[in-house]
Amino acid sequence: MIAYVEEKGWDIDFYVGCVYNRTRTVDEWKQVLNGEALEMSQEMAAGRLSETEMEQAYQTAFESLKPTNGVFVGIFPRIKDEITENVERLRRVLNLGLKTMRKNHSIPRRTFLGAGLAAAGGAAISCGRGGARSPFRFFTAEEGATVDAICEALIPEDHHPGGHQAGVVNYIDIQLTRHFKKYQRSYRHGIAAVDTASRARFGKRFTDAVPGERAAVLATVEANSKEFFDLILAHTRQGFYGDPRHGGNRHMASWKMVGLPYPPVRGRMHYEEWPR
Amino acid sequence: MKFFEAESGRLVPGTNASYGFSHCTNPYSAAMRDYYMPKKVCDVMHQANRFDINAFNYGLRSASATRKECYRAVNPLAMYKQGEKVDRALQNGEMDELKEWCKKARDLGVVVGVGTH
Repeated sequence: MIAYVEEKGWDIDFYVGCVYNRTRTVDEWKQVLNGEALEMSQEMAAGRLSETEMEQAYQTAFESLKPTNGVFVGIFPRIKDEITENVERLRRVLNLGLKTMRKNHSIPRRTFLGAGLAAAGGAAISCGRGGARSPFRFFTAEEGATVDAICEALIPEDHHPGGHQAGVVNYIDIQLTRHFKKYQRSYRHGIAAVDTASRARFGKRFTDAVPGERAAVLATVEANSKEFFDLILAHTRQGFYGDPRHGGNRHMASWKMVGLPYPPVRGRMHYEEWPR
Repeated sequence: MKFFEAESGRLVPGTNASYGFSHCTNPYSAAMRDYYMPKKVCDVMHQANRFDINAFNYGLRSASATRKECYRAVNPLAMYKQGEKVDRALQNGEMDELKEWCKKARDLGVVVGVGTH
């Protein structure tokens, strides 16, 4: 097909090829991709491939592609966090390391949608965002930073990741647009109360306070706004120890800490396989 | 990677899963369809966006929607004809129609591509 289009000189900008092909071999694809292909589709066989095979599939795809080429990959994050998994796999294959995967600034909605590719006849996708400059859904950037700092103060990093590294704020942020909607007002007021307490005591925002000062501020909040303190403490625990598919526990930080095997597919794990 | 006017990640979530085509079994596909309600599609896009994944491959599964309607709905950067349809057009000698589709897509001001399976 590519040969036909090239031969006829069509006014085309890019090609999309699929590795999951009934007729082409990997070598044939490598030959094709020496041309001007810009995109490449990849099928991971709906989870039928083993982890090793998927790693090899990524390896083959990215070895065959130019650095300016991309890969389509199906994502079905219902049981496990396939988004993180795919990103980690990609970074392993590209030797980029696993840190700094998560971006700390947002892509403006306009760019986000504008960069969308529509297959033959695209579909309407409209995604709202809490604040234009916020990387969060519910929190403003400042609120998110404060909650992140509170989570880290409640579960500080030691030789294991703390609340910040485990991305607990993402869990709370996501859930505040879902099951925790009823707590939105509590958070708005509670976060403001934390900052007010911090300013009153140390003359600076909570995020600017050092760990000892943060602990003192939270002790004040616990005494004066017990309801909010208990709420965010409970949510921090949930976000730290819960399933990553709910937005927290990044890289299964707490599960690795307690030695919980992954993935925890319900009904599939035998008792003997669990750690004693 | 640089994709014409845009800068996008090299990992692009594909469209099949979002409309419940699992390439596996019917129950698996049904589970995908149940999971991927429109709001969930947006949720997953936002989750992906947190890892710098900012480009998405998406297909409208409505036979009634015209190319223009699709364009108005999504305002995409690029449009391409899906690979199996292109392969079938080539096999059936219908490439002129496909070429016409590409021209009309170009007239909408988007980057144009063709796929192959």
